[in-house]
Amino acid sequence: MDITQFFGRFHVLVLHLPIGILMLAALWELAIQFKRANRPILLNIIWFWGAVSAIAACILGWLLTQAGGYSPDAVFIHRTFGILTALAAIIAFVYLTYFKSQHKFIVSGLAVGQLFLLFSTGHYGANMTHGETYLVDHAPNIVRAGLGFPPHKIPRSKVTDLSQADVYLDVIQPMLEKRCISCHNDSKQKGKLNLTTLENIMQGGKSGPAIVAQDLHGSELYHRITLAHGEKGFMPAEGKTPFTQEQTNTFKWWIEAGAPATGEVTQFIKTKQDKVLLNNLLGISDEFVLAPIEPISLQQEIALVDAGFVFKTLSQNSNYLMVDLSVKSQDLTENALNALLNISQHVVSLNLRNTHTSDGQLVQIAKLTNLQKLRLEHNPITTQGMQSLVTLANLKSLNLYKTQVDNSVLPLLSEFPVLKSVFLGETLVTSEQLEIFNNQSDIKIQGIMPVSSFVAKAGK
Amino acid sequence: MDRRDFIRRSLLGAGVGASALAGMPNLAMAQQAKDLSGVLGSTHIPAKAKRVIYLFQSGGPSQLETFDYKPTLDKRHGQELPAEVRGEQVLTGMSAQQSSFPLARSVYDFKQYGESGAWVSELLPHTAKIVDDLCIVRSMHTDAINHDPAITFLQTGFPIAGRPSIGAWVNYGLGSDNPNLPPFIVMVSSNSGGQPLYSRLWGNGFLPSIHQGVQFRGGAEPVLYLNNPQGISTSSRRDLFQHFKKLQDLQYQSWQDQEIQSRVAQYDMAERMQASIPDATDLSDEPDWVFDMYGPDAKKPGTYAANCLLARRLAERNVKFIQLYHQGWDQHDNLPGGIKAQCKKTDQASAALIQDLKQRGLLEDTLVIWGGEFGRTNYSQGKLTETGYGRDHHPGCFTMWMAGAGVKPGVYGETDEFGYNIIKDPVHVHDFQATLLHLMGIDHEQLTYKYQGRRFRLTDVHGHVMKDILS
Repeated sequence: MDITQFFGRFHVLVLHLPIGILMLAALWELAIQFKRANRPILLNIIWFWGAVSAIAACILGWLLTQAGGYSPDAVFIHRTFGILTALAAIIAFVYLTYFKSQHKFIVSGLAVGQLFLLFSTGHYGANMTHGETYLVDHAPNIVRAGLGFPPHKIPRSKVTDLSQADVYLDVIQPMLEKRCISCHNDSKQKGKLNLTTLENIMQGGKSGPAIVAQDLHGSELYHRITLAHGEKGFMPAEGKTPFTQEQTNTFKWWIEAGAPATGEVTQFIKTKQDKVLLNNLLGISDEFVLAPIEPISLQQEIALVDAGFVFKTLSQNSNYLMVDLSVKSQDLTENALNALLNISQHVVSLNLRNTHTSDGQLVQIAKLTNLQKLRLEHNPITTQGMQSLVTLANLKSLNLYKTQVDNSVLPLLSEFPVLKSVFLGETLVTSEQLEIFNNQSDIKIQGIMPVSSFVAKAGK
Repeated sequence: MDRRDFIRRSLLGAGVGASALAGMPNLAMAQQAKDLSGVLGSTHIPAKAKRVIYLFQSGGPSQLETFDYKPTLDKRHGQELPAEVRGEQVLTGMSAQQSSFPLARSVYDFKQYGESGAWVSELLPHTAKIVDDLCIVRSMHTDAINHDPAITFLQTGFPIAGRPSIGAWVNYGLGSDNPNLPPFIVMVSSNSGGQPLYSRLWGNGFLPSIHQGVQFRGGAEPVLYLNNPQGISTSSRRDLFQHFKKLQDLQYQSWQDQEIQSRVAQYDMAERMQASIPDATDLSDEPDWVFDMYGPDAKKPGTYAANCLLARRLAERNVKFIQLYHQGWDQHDNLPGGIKAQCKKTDQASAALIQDLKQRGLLEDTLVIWGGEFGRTNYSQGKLTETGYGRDHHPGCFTMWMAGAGVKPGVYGETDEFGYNIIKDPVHVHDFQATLLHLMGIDHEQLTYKYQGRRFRLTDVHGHVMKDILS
């Protein structure tokens, strides 16, 4: 406990009293001079208390500076103005209260001077607590230019594809700005660390360089953000929002890639996990990669409804469609197929569960080039029909549950460019072949669960 | 101007007579389109989850005998709950008068399972096998300490009755994906009992009544009177209904009451359900190995296991919100025996549901939720003996799990060594609700309904999406 600090901190409370009281007095005096009104005796009391509170603010302010932590230059100028304000208030009080004849110009001068000193003191004091750029942070560029500040940075446009993303400007810097910069910047450098530019980052702070290329252990920043929450030295400090797992992993990826200062993100991506990580971090989902598309026409909508489809757009901001024929117990007729082909670019997800879809019809389905998810469960489809689908360049999920495909479908699956998950339960595919395939392939295939083991193991 | 206003005004503008009659088919079509697309028209963001299966474990399952393993309770078994751990936590009237609050360990053993190394108790052998599909949230907390307000809070976002339930909000916002089945279906286990449930938990609150959940019966026939009465043909029934509809439309024109439309829509739905319900609820086409998966109860209609199987069939048919309730988790005394029986009734079927959805490709876009309304105390309510103890209600922490669409498997959140307070990543009920809506593509701050002069939403003025658990 530090008693000087206890009182010193009341400075920020008390300082508002002289501002209010002295401003009132000064403005009132000016008004009297201009309007030639009578001067009430009350004003003397106002000046008196203004002077007292100014002196009190000076003393408390001096106590506050004893603990240090403020730049000496800033303290000097604020203190000088503060003392002058108090002196001016005393002079004004003495002159206006005890001098019989008062000269109009002296009174006006005292009042104007008092106002000037008040504003100056307040301004320099506020600079110390809020930072010098506080008032212009959100100023229009024209105001900033007039005051000699550089114009606002143009925000980088939202990344929609990894190949557009710059490794520092789009990935690393935004994370630092969000979580670190408020304490580690040009004017406030906690731990002597400045994280505004890559040079400063490499240079580091009191505890050494923040980032060392390809050296996780030597990178103090990585060390600090991966400590247990609440452990001494954990960053961001003081209970501010910590980095997420995803974000710390991204720092790890960046450091291991040699902490590149610039360059396309894709250059530094080595594994599939890296790609997933960065896509997630940047909020790039595959749906957004689709180019904007016009909504389908009313005629096309009516054709879909008549054929028994239930359909919805992907979201309010997208005209791509999720189309479903499964719920109305109708078959995939020629009409239905034509209605689909009419909107072949729009369909990203198609559910044909239990609609008697045949191998021959899959040739037409393959024309839905933007298809990402296709459900074909409970249909008389064989491996032969699957041959025609391999051209679907965007297909990620394929459901063949309870179809007639056999083991020969497995090699075919590897030919799909981006296929991620396939469902082959209750088909002619044998579990042995499935296991062999699963061990070799990136594609996640879900066969039928071994029920026997499930029941037996859990049954005891 | 929303769609309802538009319909209302265009009808009023149409006046009376022939032009009003001409407007009627459009009214029906507009109503049908609205049922399908909901008030939002489409989701705010692309939805990860197209449907939800919510396995509500009513009564407050003890987290300490299921998922939240606390070795410290083993060591300090029988010692007093330290005052600084209890802090200012209010206790219920059932245990507040106790002279002593002895810490009680779990009589059941825990082991770590799966890649996530999640601790699961021996009571849940089936769930233990699927932990790598689950996101186990151990840091849930709620505002309410007694059953009714706590369930009401979880299901409607407010502890006092009168607000719409989650399923009603989802239906109001997103409509339906299957015009032949109700979009919000509720099933209460017939093989459970305990603290009562009320239909307002799946009610529409101030939303139009068409959005309320439809409860299936627990017996062999989930929906009654699907067949036409003897001697009455389908065509004559339809005839009757057409005339009835005309009367309703006349009434609607003079009163403009939303509830008239709701009523007509329900008659329409009932007719379509005559065909769709037998198809959805007849389990005779399920092979034996499926029943084996869900366990012996699966063949007894109305049990939790049978309801889980039925939930899977409804999910296959694109029912958007399927809510199960299983009562009886309120173990104030004889907890070891009680919770063992509860787990036996629910563990295998819950796990089988996940597995079954997974192998059919449905877990990709179905969100499954398991959990109760609050947790239970780490001290014994009543006398602590070697094998017997009870636990009182504890709103400070409890465990839920989620699985499937858009959720990252793993263990989230942490409680202190006493299992009493949350020390990492707390998740409030409103956060959970915000996350659920987010996964369905809804911005929880943007789905509102104006009622009695102000706009209401599920999360009231609270709720943060749990970003860290999203995949």
